[in-house]
Amino acid sequence: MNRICQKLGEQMGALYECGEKSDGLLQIRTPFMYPDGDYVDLYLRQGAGSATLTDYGETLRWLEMQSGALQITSKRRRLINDVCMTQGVEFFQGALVSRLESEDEIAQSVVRLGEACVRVSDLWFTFRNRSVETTGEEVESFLDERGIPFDRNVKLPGRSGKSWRVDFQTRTSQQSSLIKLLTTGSRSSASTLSKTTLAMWVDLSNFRLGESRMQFITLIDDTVDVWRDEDFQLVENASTVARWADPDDFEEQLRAA
Amino acid sequence: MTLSESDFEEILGDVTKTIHGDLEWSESDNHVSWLKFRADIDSEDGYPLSVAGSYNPIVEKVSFALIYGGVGRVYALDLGVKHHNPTCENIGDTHKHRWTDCYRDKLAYEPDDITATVAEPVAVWEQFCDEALIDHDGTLAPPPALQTEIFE
Repeated sequence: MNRICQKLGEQMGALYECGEKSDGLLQIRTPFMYPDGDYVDLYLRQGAGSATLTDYGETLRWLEMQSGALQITSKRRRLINDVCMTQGVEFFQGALVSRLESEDEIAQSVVRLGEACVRVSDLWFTFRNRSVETTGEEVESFLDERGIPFDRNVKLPGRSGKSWRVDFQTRTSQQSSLIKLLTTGSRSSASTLSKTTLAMWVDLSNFRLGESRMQFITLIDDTVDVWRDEDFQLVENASTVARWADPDDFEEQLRAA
Repeated sequence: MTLSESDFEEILGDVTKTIHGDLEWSESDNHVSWLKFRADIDSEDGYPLSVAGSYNPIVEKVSFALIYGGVGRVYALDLGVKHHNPTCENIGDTHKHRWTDCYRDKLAYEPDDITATVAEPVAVWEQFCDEALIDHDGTLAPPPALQTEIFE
């Protein structure tokens, strides 16, 4: 058995599987897991004087496969750098890397790098198109972060006598707003939702009048491509349309006089 | 938004899912050790579906995933990596993730319809499309050669 694998086995036990992947490359199967349950594999490349322990970009590849469109934004880069700082590893050319000066460091390096892989893979929670959080919860988090006071699921009487429920009522220094969030994964539902929303805004039109007049905002979750132009045009007849893919513009509308 | 298991099964069983045109692997500024591609999937019901593929030739791993807009990965094939199910079984180096109500995409199984190896990513892609009932009316190009070693 390879000397390093033997050392790893003595120090870490049977939870870590170690073997030659190819010439000069060891594969170490750790008990760490990415958020979907796939195990974290690390690789040791031995060179003259030192060795490199790395994931060969597998953590970023795992993240890519969750959305098909991974972007290392400056915020995500800061999060990765923070993880690397804590764990004492590097982020180099898309790979998490640790340098070993001696074989005695192998166990410690494997644990630190494995933990770094897991923590970086938790960037998955910063992705907006994931099923753990609903769009309504995302909007709620957004309003919290931006310091916009709100009530959730507000029930209001329409002129017809029917009661309607809006998703959010917000109040900023210049403006109060009623917000209806439209989110769906299906084109046929998108059409039905926009028609129902138009009916709602028409029936609630008395809330646009008087001293405490409200702004009506239809917030469309256009991060999913199911909306047609006619859906937007329909609700524009009775409300201001905001797009969830442009949250800064949504905030501007909430704060506008 | 969320996706039910029955909706997922309906999507997977939809035979009108189609990818048009040829696909090519590309590198990225973010990384140098693996290749990827992404493509939209058309269907009669207009599901917001796309497919992503990635291939790491240095460590011999390849993955393909069906991604549902607003939800994330709902179905995937991984070669070269082991998996631990939330029900506590360990699954081997070739496994598929499949969406369920209880575990989302964390539950995997070993398929018997993937016979191609990591060294044949194009053949793996074709077998992936077969079970997912995706009609790809073009071809996936073989992966280009990458810089084989980034660490001395």
